[in-house]
Amino acid sequence: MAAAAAEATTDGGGKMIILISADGKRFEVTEAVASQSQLISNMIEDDCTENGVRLPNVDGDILTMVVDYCNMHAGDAAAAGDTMKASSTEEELKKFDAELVQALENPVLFKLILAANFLNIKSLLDMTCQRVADMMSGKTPEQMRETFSIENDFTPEEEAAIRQENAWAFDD
Amino acid sequence: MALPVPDDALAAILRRLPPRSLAAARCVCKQWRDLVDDRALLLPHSAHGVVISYVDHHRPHLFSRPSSSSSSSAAAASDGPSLCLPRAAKLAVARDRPLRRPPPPLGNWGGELRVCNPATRRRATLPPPPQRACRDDVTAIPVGEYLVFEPAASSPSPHYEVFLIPTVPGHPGPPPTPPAHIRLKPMAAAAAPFCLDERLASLRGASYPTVEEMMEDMAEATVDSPPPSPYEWDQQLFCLMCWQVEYQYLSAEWPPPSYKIDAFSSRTGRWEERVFVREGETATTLEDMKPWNYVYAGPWQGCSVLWQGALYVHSGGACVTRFSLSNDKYQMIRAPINILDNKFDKPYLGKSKMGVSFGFIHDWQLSIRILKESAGLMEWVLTYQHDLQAIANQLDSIDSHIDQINGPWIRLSHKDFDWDSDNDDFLAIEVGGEKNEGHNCAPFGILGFHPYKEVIYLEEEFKTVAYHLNSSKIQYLGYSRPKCYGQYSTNGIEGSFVYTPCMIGDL
Repeated sequence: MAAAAAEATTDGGGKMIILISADGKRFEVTEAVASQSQLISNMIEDDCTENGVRLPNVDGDILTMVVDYCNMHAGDAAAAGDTMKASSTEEELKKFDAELVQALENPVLFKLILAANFLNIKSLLDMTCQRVADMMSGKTPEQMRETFSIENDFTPEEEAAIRQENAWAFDD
Repeated sequence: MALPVPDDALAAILRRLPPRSLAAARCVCKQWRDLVDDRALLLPHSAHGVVISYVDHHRPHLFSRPSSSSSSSAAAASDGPSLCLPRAAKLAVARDRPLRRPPPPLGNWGGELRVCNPATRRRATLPPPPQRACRDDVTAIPVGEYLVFEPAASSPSPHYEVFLIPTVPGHPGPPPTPPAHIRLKPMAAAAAPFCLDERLASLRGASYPTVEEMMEDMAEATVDSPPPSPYEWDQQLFCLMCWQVEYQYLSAEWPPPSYKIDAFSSRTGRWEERVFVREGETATTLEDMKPWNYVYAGPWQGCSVLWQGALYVHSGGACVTRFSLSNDKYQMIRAPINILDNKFDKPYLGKSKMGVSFGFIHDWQLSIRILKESAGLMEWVLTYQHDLQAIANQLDSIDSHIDQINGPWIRLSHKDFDWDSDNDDFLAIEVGGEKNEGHNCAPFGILGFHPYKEVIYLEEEFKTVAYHLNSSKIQYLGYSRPKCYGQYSTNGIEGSFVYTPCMIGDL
């Protein structure tokens, strides 16, 4: 029966999938949009998206961002052959991506990384990780701890030793 | 509190940091330190170029594709986003003075011994090696300098060691001049013509006379007559004695059963003597072990490979010496080719993707053999055989008289230690086409093996190529002759290794 269902939808392409966030919000997206997530793509192949996909560790507001992102970028994959369309939206996509990550507060950014990691959306994970890396770049260990509220769990001796190991990084 | 992201995501973030920031991140907390170490983020991941030292030139040069950020403001550029990963893993040992011939004796070091890490732009000057018995230049023990640094080992250590390995024992020097009261018998005119070969043949017996006995045999004591000057000394006798000194020298067992090596450790900051004891049945004489260019009194620095806890050294002789660093034993492994038959072709021992590799080019035929251990026996397995004639023709067409030949790689000055050559889109030269059997070009030299790809770097009169062993394609990299390298008849490449920068360790 599963095989029959799969066959019935193969040439449609526009089949819709329901994504359900941890707090019960429902998002209806096309298969093309959803399958940017490797996780959901695998589920589609395995035919287990019939009753909606529950994402117990992604909040509604984060899933909203993810779905927005996927909707924006779905054109990418779908229009891979259509160079006219791809080039016309390239600028817009860049602007969209930049605005998406620049505006985020740290906790939201990390939630987005978690979601991208869980859903396995490589481009979104790349983009968000790069944003965090940019925030770290050029900072001292103290500044990094402050930026991300990380506790220093080294003893003074351990810290001296580890700084010695990477002493070159602290040269002027 | 730690970052609320899983380790994989944190690693993905850290992986994007420039080296200095990554090293700083390693100092933030234990979780980050462990992640950087566990995933070897600061360890070598790619080859960045070839470090080349030149005959009669004061320092080695790095030949590499420049990064877009390689500018005089390297310090600022190194933290720029263009350099995404710290890689690399080898330090360069460099003397700040040219090698002299014969090399300076240890007691009178002709320049400081320095270890530098171009990736971090740090270096250390080692204390002078221990004073050995004072010798003059002729009888100095020629040593090769070898760096032992294995940051990617199963039990990584930030420390490095420098081994000074005697290539050959100290030369006994010229035969003694006859004591003043001894006058040599004149060679009788009536005697049979002197035949050196016969004399040599007679010396090959189990017991041959010592120099002193021979002198006594051939001289008569006279008290009254004035001592002869060395120039009056019978030329043939002198030749014979020189030969005999040389013969005794060369037929002596070498290396000795207990091989003494001066080793500097960055852990202690001191030199100490390490004694390696021979294991295995292969014992060799100095005749076997003399460097390939012994006749030209060439440099004593051999090629070396650090592989799975052992240092393999080849100074050009008939054997590769394998020093086991864990148990202080050494073993002689026969080189796969007869070096003595090939005095003009320089072999190259290096580390390739497949392990300890021995490359050799004779008559444009490249062969690469990999050392395999099976049932306790070391064996060279012929892995690649290539005819380089077509490539030689291609390179010939490049005008070698132009000093600056465009290629993607350049020699970097010591200021430009940041580069990124991970994505080398070299100029590819199509190999094939017409064959010119009668060409008369210089032979190829091997510069090194790519540590992670099946690529060998070759050089012909400073024209440098990467040769892809699987596709037989070459990529022209550029002209590796430094602009500051004077024009001498000795011009050439003395040694080279593929450089893989490393961001961790004592330097």
